Amino acid sequence: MTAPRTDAAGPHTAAVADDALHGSYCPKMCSFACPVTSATGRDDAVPWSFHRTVSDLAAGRLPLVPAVAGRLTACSGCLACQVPCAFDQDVPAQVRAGRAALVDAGAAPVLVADAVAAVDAGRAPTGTDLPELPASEDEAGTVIVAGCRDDSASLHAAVALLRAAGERVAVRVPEGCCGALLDDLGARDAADRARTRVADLVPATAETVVANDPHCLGSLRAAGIETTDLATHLGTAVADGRLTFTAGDERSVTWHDPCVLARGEGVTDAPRRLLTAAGASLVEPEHHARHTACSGAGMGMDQLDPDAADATADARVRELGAGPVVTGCARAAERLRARGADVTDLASALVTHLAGSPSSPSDPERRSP
Amino acid sequence: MALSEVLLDDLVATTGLAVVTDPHVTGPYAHDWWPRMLMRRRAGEELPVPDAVVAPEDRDDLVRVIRWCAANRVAVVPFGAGTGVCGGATPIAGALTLDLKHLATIGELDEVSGVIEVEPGVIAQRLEDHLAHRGWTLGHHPSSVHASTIGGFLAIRSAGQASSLHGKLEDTVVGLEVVLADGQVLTSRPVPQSSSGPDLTRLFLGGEGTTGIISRAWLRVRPAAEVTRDRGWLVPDLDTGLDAMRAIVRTGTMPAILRLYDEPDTGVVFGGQGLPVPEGCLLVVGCEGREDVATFTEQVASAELTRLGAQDLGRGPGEHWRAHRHGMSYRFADYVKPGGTFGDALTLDTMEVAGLWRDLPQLYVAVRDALLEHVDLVLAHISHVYDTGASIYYTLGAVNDGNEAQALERYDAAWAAGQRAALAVGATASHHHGIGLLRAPYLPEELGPAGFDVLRRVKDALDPDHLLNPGKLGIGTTEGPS
Repeated sequence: MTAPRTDAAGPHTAAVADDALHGSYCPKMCSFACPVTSATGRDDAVPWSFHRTVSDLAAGRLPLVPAVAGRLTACSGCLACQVPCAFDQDVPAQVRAGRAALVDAGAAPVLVADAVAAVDAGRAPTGTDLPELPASEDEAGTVIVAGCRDDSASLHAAVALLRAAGERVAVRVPEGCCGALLDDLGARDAADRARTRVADLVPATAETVVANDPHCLGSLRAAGIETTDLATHLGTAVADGRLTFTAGDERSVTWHDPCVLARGEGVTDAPRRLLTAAGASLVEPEHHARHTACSGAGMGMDQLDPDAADATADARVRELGAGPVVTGCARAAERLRARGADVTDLASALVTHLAGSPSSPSDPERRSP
Repeated sequence: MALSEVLLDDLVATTGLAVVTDPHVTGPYAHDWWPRMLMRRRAGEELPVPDAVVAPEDRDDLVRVIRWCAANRVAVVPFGAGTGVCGGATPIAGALTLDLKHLATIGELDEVSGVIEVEPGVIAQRLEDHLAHRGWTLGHHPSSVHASTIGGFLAIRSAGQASSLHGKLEDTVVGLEVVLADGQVLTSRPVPQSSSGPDLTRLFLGGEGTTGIISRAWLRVRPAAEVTRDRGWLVPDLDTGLDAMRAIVRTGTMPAILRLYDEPDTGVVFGGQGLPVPEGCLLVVGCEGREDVATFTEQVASAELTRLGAQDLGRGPGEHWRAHRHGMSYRFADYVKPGGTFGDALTLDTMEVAGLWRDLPQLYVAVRDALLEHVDLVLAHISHVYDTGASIYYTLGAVNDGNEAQALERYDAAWAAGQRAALAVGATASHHHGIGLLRAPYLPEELGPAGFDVLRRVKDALDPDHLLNPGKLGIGTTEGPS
């Protein structure tokens, strides 16, 4: 038999090699579900192709060279392939393992090293500055952890919502990266260092930690911090009667389910209930909830493979239509806006409908679910 | 002879398309889902990759590429999702692999006529989801619907699991656009039926890209089913089951699913669920459509089955089948991978044939026995039911304890024996998987000398330099043009 050589691409790849090898004989039954495959038509964007590449790396059938790195760029980590999969294949994990092997071999794209350097210098992995944070309160019971791609307005809106719900709020941002994006790029050592720093972020008084960007949830939990997402936390505040909205004229809004929130966390109802409570009439695109399509923002695809990211975002923007879109992921918002969609983040969409808010509708109808 | 760098530079300059030659990138195009290729790869063989891959963005790009190929006498191998099981997308030396997945636009849904316009690179489930969102269905649900493209399905004359009601995919074609070997675009206008001479679309459906490249299709769609009504029945033996299927067909009502398992396959179906294995054969009847129609169809089928003494097993077996209808495609990987369920070097494949009702009992036995001469296990089910007959779908497997050479030897011997046995009783050797390279040796026997000569002359007329998918259907060389 031709069993994979577990030493060929290092321990990271070997750890997932068995699964990937299994998948390399899989019948490509998730192809239809992959938004990158559909948007790009590229054979190297079919999830099966990632299985094949990673298992071939592990078996020593492919060399650890830059050309192979190019076969692991067109995955957004959106998990759409997992929905129909009977094998429980974790394609993003396989891609991360393959990328890590290429990093270890010095065959990764140069932007991975740039991302690590940027984080070491206290900037986001993309090289941009971290968001400006709202003022924190002392002895905060709730800590919002900002993502490196969050914008300041969304953070201010989130804080305003939680304070309206009677919570004392502090906001923290990891130094450069929580580790998620570095992990996605294959920079595992740097990601581990980032997670070590994250562990010191949360004050001892905190009862609740909320990740403003759902991409950070996994990394924060891996750092030992029990974390929830913003939509779920706000939903609890509404259900408890601590947070109410006013609704004016009913307006149509499309909720773009962030992949990591809808498929990764199973959170699809909470944001819809919040928007409805704030007077929105929801318009559902063809792909929504657990079957949401992707903005092309995840797994660093917009950095590693901008063409694939643009094509994926374009397809999603066409599906979302010309009306207003609300989402709960800074990366998705950024990508969809860049491709022409009218996107607002969840907190900003809700904050203008806070009961008693100066900017809330003039003829308010108090609403709670 | 490999494509030269100078030639490929000219292709780039002429078409404006990127041409990929890096073998690290073209690797996934080295094979489709022909199990023999997977077995060779499993055995450690480095399968040849295409010299170059080009992916046209639209029909006009495709025309430019084909014209360039004609002018430079370069062969092309069309490649969709790479899920064909007969080697139809296998690259050959000196040829350009033509990735058609970028031609993936779902066009207008004409809800008045019930027609959808679609490009060949659309994955069939994607189309089905698009239609379902709008209340329609193509009704084409083969096991590989999640993976394969519409163009690939048309090229091999695919059939879905509900073909008894909805027909094979070719039966849904009301119009077709094809790029010919000289770059001309043939369009058969979408009309419900016609008597304007021979139906030219039939030159390309089943042509596997050897007569032209399908670039667009207009397909009949139907309102999505409101309900499905699935039920299992037990009949004492296969012949009784065949009689029952035929009786149901002759009532004039047609279930979407009529699926009769032979005794070994019935054992696998029940045993696989940890259930006691009954004596006899399982028959799954699935009715779908508007609620009153599905209910009536089920009542008629049930009455026939009761009249013939079949035992009603309730909804469980039918609903289990529907819930696991793509299961075999998944299990394939569990079985065939190195260190799979049955050990290393497993021989595994499926073979579908079809015959008239009167021939089916003999066909079933002849092919089964021929296969069993060379493999350890043969399972079969009868499906894809028509007024005049049905398809038999065999699964064949052999344990080889790590001996890959033996695995291939048994594979080849089983295929030769099974195909010849089917042809000997007057059946067709291929019902819906096509010909590719796998069945090419048996096609002349099925078509007969005159039939195969007609096919060859059609090929010569449409593609005189034999540039379109050489070697497939057994026409032209697999080594590429000189």
